[in-house]
Amino acid sequence: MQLANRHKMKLNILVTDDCSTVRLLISKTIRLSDLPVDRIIEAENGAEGLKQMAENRVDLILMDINMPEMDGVTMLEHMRMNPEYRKIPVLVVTAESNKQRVPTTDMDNIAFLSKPFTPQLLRDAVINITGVTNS
Amino acid sequence: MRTTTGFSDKIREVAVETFEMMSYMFPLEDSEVSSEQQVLPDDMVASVVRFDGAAKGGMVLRATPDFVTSLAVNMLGIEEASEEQKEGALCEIVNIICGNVAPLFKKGEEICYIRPPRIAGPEERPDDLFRNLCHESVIIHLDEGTVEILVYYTRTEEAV
Repeated sequence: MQLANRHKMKLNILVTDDCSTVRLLISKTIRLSDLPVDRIIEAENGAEGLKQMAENRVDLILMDINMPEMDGVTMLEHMRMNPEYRKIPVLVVTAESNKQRVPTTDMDNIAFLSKPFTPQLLRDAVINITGVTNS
Repeated sequence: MRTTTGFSDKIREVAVETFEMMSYMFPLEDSEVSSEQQVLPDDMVASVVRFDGAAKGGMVLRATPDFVTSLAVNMLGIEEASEEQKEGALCEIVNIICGNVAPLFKKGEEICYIRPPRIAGPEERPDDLFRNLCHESVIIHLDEGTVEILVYYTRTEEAV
Protein backbone atom coordinates (compact mmCIF):
# COMPACT_ATOMS: atom_id res chain seq x y z
CA MET A 1 0.00 0.00 0.00
CA GLN A 2 1.49 3.34 -1.00
CA LEU A 3 1.67 5.90 1.78
CA ALA A 4 -0.11 8.51 -0.35
CA ASN A 5 -3.04 6.15 -0.82
CA ARG A 6 -3.30 5.47 2.90
CA HIS A 7 -4.28 9.06 3.52
CA LYS A 8 -7.24 8.77 1.13
CA MET A 9 -8.53 5.27 1.67
CA LYS A 10 -11.12 3.95 4.06
CA LEU A 11 -9.78 1.07 6.07
CA ASN A 12 -11.10 -2.45 6.20
CA ILE A 13 -10.12 -3.64 9.67
CA LEU A 14 -10.00 -7.22 10.91
CA VAL A 15 -10.52 -7.60 14.67
CA THR A 16 -9.37 -11.00 15.90
CA ASP A 17 -10.22 -11.83 19.51
CA ASP A 18 -11.93 -14.83 21.07
CA CYS A 19 -14.02 -12.62 23.38
CA SER A 20 -17.07 -11.12 21.66
CA THR A 21 -17.20 -8.39 24.31
CA VAL A 22 -13.69 -7.27 23.39
CA ARG A 23 -14.47 -7.40 19.67
CA LEU A 24 -17.49 -5.20 20.27
CA LEU A 25 -15.47 -2.84 22.49
CA ILE A 26 -12.77 -2.42 19.86
CA SER A 27 -15.24 -2.11 16.98
CA LYS A 28 -17.32 0.52 18.77
CA THR A 29 -14.24 2.46 19.82
CA ILE A 30 -12.94 2.53 16.26
CA ARG A 31 -16.34 3.55 14.86
CA LEU A 32 -16.44 6.48 17.29
CA SER A 33 -12.84 7.50 16.65
CA ASP A 34 -13.41 9.65 13.58
CA LEU A 35 -11.03 7.47 11.60
CA PRO A 36 -11.73 6.65 7.95
CA VAL A 37 -13.12 3.15 8.35
CA ASP A 38 -15.13 1.20 5.82
CA ARG A 39 -15.71 -2.31 7.17
CA ILE A 40 -14.84 -3.92 10.47
CA ILE A 41 -14.62 -7.68 10.10
CA GLU A 42 -14.54 -9.91 13.17
CA ALA A 43 -12.88 -13.26 13.79
CA GLU A 44 -12.78 -15.25 17.03
CA ASN A 45 -9.44 -16.99 16.47
CA GLY A 46 -6.44 -17.03 14.18
CA ALA A 47 -7.83 -19.65 11.82
CA GLU A 48 -10.99 -17.65 11.25
CA GLY A 49 -8.87 -14.54 10.87
CA LEU A 50 -6.86 -16.13 8.06
CA LYS A 51 -10.10 -17.25 6.41
CA GLN A 52 -11.46 -13.70 6.55
CA MET A 53 -8.20 -12.41 5.07
CA ALA A 54 -8.56 -14.79 2.14
CA GLU A 55 -12.11 -13.59 1.47
CA ASN A 56 -11.82 -9.85 2.14
CA ARG A 57 -9.50 -6.95 1.54
CA VAL A 58 -7.90 -6.24 4.91
CA ASP A 59 -5.88 -3.07 5.52
CA LEU A 60 -5.23 -3.49 9.25
CA ILE A 61 -5.42 -6.33 11.73
CA LEU A 62 -6.09 -5.83 15.43
CA MET A 63 -5.09 -9.07 17.05
CA ASP A 64 -5.27 -10.71 20.45
CA ILE A 65 -2.57 -13.27 21.26
CA ASN A 66 -4.31 -15.59 23.67
CA MET A 67 -7.01 -17.36 21.61
CA PRO A 68 -8.16 -20.99 21.43
CA GLU A 69 -7.88 -23.15 18.28
CA MET A 70 -5.25 -20.88 16.68
CA ASP A 71 -3.54 -18.19 18.75
CA GLY A 72 -2.18 -14.89 17.50
CA VAL A 73 1.43 -16.06 17.37
CA THR A 74 0.48 -18.93 15.04
CA MET A 75 -1.63 -16.63 12.90
CA LEU A 76 1.38 -14.32 12.54
CA GLU A 77 3.53 -17.31 11.52
CA HIS A 78 1.06 -18.12 8.73
CA MET A 79 1.04 -14.49 7.63
CA ARG A 80 4.84 -14.41 7.50
CA MET A 81 4.85 -17.16 4.89
CA ASN A 82 2.58 -15.16 2.58
CA PRO A 83 4.31 -12.16 0.95
CA GLU A 84 0.95 -10.41 0.51
CA TYR A 85 -0.17 -10.88 4.10
CA ARG A 86 3.12 -9.95 5.72
CA LYS A 87 2.79 -6.39 4.47
CA ILE A 88 -0.53 -5.83 6.24
CA PRO A 89 -0.11 -3.73 9.39
CA VAL A 90 -0.76 -5.70 12.56
CA LEU A 91 -1.63 -4.08 15.87
CA VAL A 92 -1.27 -6.62 18.66
CA VAL A 93 -3.69 -5.64 21.42
CA THR A 94 -2.60 -7.50 24.50
CA ALA A 95 -1.60 -7.33 28.15
CA GLU A 96 2.04 -6.88 29.08
CA SER A 97 2.89 -10.55 29.65
CA ASN A 98 2.01 -11.60 26.10
CA LYS A 99 4.27 -9.13 24.33
CA GLN A 100 7.30 -11.32 24.87
CA ARG A 101 5.58 -14.21 23.09
CA VAL A 102 5.48 -12.36 19.78
CA PRO A 103 8.53 -12.62 17.53
CA THR A 104 8.60 -9.35 15.59
CA THR A 105 11.91 -9.45 13.77
CA ASP A 106 10.73 -10.67 10.37
CA MET A 107 7.39 -8.88 10.19
CA ASP A 108 7.22 -5.74 8.08
CA ASN A 109 4.73 -3.73 10.07
CA ILE A 110 3.79 -4.78 13.59
CA ALA A 111 3.07 -2.74 16.72
CA PHE A 112 1.65 -3.28 20.17
CA LEU A 113 -1.17 -1.66 22.07
CA SER A 114 -1.08 -2.58 25.73
CA LYS A 115 -4.26 -3.37 27.61
CA PRO A 116 -5.75 -1.51 29.35
CA PHE A 117 -6.16 1.18 26.73
CA THR A 118 -8.23 4.32 26.29
CA PRO A 119 -10.11 5.20 23.09
CA GLN A 120 -7.47 7.84 22.40
CA LEU A 121 -4.61 5.35 22.73
CA LEU A 122 -6.35 2.95 20.34
CA ARG A 123 -6.97 5.74 17.85
CA ASP A 124 -3.36 6.94 18.04
CA ALA A 125 -2.05 3.41 17.56
CA VAL A 126 -4.19 2.92 14.43
CA ILE A 127 -3.00 6.24 13.00
CA ASN A 128 0.63 5.46 13.77
CA ILE A 129 0.66 2.07 12.12
CA THR A 130 -1.51 2.83 9.08
CA GLY A 131 -0.62 6.43 8.36
CA VAL A 132 -4.29 7.34 7.94
CA THR A 133 -5.61 10.66 9.15
CA ASN A 134 -9.05 11.70 10.34
CA SER A 135 -12.03 10.94 8.10
CA MET B 1 -0.34 -20.02 52.81
CA ARG B 2 -0.52 -16.24 52.80
CA THR B 3 2.59 -14.24 52.00
CA THR B 4 3.56 -10.60 52.05
CA THR B 5 5.72 -10.28 48.98
CA GLY B 6 4.40 -6.92 47.90
CA PHE B 7 2.37 -8.15 44.93
CA SER B 8 -0.71 -6.55 46.48
CA ASP B 9 0.47 -3.03 45.70
CA LYS B 10 1.11 -3.90 42.05
CA ILE B 11 -2.23 -5.69 41.75
CA ARG B 12 -4.04 -2.68 43.21
CA GLU B 13 -2.20 -0.27 40.91
CA VAL B 14 -2.92 -2.34 37.80
CA ALA B 15 -6.53 -3.00 38.77
CA VAL B 16 -7.34 0.66 39.46
CA GLU B 17 -5.80 1.68 36.15
CA THR B 18 -7.70 -1.06 34.32
CA PHE B 19 -11.08 -0.11 35.80
CA GLU B 20 -10.44 3.57 35.12
CA MET B 21 -9.34 3.11 31.51
CA MET B 22 -11.66 0.32 30.43
CA SER B 23 -14.88 1.10 32.29
CA TYR B 24 -14.64 4.60 33.75
CA MET B 25 -14.86 3.34 37.33
CA PHE B 26 -12.82 5.19 39.90
CA PRO B 27 -11.49 4.23 43.35
CA LEU B 28 -13.05 5.67 46.49
CA GLU B 29 -10.98 7.40 49.13
CA ASP B 30 -10.84 5.50 52.42
CA SER B 31 -13.05 8.13 54.01
CA GLU B 32 -15.71 7.52 51.33
CA VAL B 33 -16.05 3.81 52.10
CA SER B 34 -19.00 3.07 54.37
CA SER B 35 -18.97 0.35 57.00
CA GLU B 36 -21.49 -1.59 54.90
CA GLN B 37 -19.12 -1.56 51.96
CA GLN B 38 -16.35 -3.01 54.14
CA VAL B 39 -18.21 -6.33 54.28
CA LEU B 40 -18.09 -8.37 51.09
CA PRO B 41 -21.51 -9.71 50.07
CA ASP B 42 -22.15 -13.44 49.67
CA ASP B 43 -23.63 -13.30 46.18
CA MET B 44 -20.45 -12.48 44.32
CA VAL B 45 -19.64 -13.87 40.89
CA ALA B 46 -16.09 -14.61 39.85
CA SER B 47 -13.91 -14.85 36.79
CA VAL B 48 -10.80 -17.02 36.86
CA VAL B 49 -7.65 -17.08 34.80
CA ARG B 50 -4.72 -19.46 35.12
CA PHE B 51 -1.10 -18.96 34.18
CA ASP B 52 1.94 -21.20 33.86
CA GLY B 53 5.51 -21.00 32.63
CA ALA B 54 7.92 -19.14 34.93
CA ALA B 55 5.37 -19.63 37.71
CA LYS B 56 2.08 -21.43 37.99
CA GLY B 57 -1.04 -20.03 39.51
CA GLY B 58 -4.03 -17.94 38.74
CA MET B 59 -6.12 -14.93 39.52
CA VAL B 60 -9.72 -14.65 40.65
CA LEU B 61 -11.81 -11.48 40.35
CA ARG B 62 -14.95 -11.38 42.49
CA ALA B 63 -17.73 -8.81 42.21
CA THR B 64 -21.47 -8.52 42.76
CA PRO B 65 -23.89 -9.11 39.86
CA ASP B 66 -24.86 -5.42 39.93
CA PHE B 67 -21.23 -4.40 39.64
CA VAL B 68 -20.71 -6.75 36.70
CA THR B 69 -23.71 -5.21 34.95
CA SER B 70 -22.25 -1.72 35.43
CA LEU B 71 -18.88 -2.96 34.25
CA ALA B 72 -20.25 -4.29 30.96
CA VAL B 73 -22.50 -1.28 30.36
CA ASN B 74 -19.64 1.15 30.98
CA MET B 75 -17.10 -0.82 28.96
CA LEU B 76 -19.30 -1.13 25.91
CA GLY B 77 -21.17 2.16 26.17
CA ILE B 78 -24.54 0.45 25.95
CA GLU B 79 -27.85 0.78 27.81
CA GLU B 80 -28.30 -2.86 28.66
CA ALA B 81 -25.82 -5.73 28.65
CA SER B 82 -26.53 -9.35 27.78
CA GLU B 83 -25.32 -12.15 30.03
CA GLU B 84 -22.63 -12.96 27.46
CA GLN B 85 -21.43 -9.36 27.50
CA LYS B 86 -21.36 -9.29 31.32
CA GLU B 87 -19.36 -12.48 31.49
CA GLY B 88 -17.06 -11.27 28.71
CA ALA B 89 -16.41 -8.00 30.53
CA LEU B 90 -15.60 -9.72 33.83
CA CYS B 91 -13.31 -12.20 32.05
CA GLU B 92 -11.54 -9.49 30.10
CA ILE B 93 -10.82 -7.43 33.20
CA VAL B 94 -9.24 -10.34 35.06
CA ASN B 95 -7.33 -11.20 31.88
CA ILE B 96 -5.88 -7.69 31.69
CA ILE B 97 -5.02 -7.44 35.38
CA CYS B 98 -3.40 -10.88 35.45
CA GLY B 99 -1.58 -10.19 32.20
CA ASN B 100 0.00 -7.10 33.70
CA VAL B 101 0.80 -8.68 37.06
CA ALA B 102 2.23 -11.95 35.70
CA PRO B 103 5.53 -10.34 34.56
CA LEU B 104 6.36 -10.04 38.27
CA PHE B 105 6.81 -13.80 38.27
CA LYS B 106 9.22 -13.78 35.32
CA LYS B 107 12.46 -15.68 35.89
CA GLY B 108 15.20 -14.52 33.54
CA GLU B 109 14.02 -15.22 30.00
CA GLU B 110 11.26 -17.53 31.21
CA ILE B 111 7.86 -15.88 31.06
CA CYS B 112 4.34 -16.68 32.21
CA TYR B 113 1.64 -17.82 29.79
CA ILE B 114 -1.84 -16.58 30.54
CA ARG B 115 -4.59 -19.06 29.67
CA PRO B 116 -8.09 -18.06 28.52
CA PRO B 117 -10.25 -16.70 31.38
CA ARG B 118 -13.61 -18.18 32.34
CA ILE B 119 -16.47 -17.58 34.72
CA ALA B 120 -16.27 -19.69 37.88
CA GLY B 121 -19.20 -21.95 38.69
CA PRO B 122 -21.36 -21.00 41.69
CA GLU B 123 -19.96 -23.91 43.72
CA GLU B 124 -16.31 -23.20 42.91
CA ARG B 125 -14.42 -21.60 45.78
CA PRO B 126 -11.20 -19.77 44.87
CA ASP B 127 -9.14 -21.57 47.51
CA ASP B 128 -10.28 -24.92 46.13
CA LEU B 129 -9.28 -23.97 42.58
CA PHE B 130 -5.69 -23.28 43.62
CA ARG B 131 -4.81 -25.55 46.52
CA ASN B 132 -1.54 -25.27 48.42
CA LEU B 133 -0.39 -22.12 46.69
CA CYS B 134 0.79 -18.81 48.06
CA HIS B 135 -1.93 -16.23 47.73
CA GLU B 136 -2.66 -12.58 48.26
CA SER B 137 -5.96 -10.76 48.30
CA VAL B 138 -6.74 -7.17 47.38
CA ILE B 139 -10.07 -5.44 47.98
CA ILE B 140 -10.79 -2.32 45.96
CA HIS B 141 -13.70 0.01 46.62
CA LEU B 142 -14.81 1.71 43.41
CA ASP B 143 -17.57 4.20 42.82
CA GLU B 144 -19.73 1.46 41.27
CA GLY B 145 -19.04 -1.18 43.92
CA THR B 146 -16.42 -3.34 45.54
CA VAL B 147 -14.24 -6.02 43.96
CA GLU B 148 -11.94 -8.61 45.45
CA ILE B 149 -8.90 -9.82 43.54
CA LEU B 150 -7.02 -12.92 44.63
CA VAL B 151 -3.75 -14.06 43.11
CA TYR B 152 -2.39 -17.57 43.65
CA TYR B 153 1.10 -18.52 42.63
CA THR B 154 3.93 -20.94 43.01
CA ARG B 155 7.14 -21.79 41.23
CA THR B 156 7.21 -24.22 38.33
CA GLU B 157 8.66 -27.03 40.44
CA GLU B 158 5.41 -27.17 42.38
CA ALA B 159 2.23 -28.52 40.83
CA VAL B 160 -0.96 -26.49 40.65
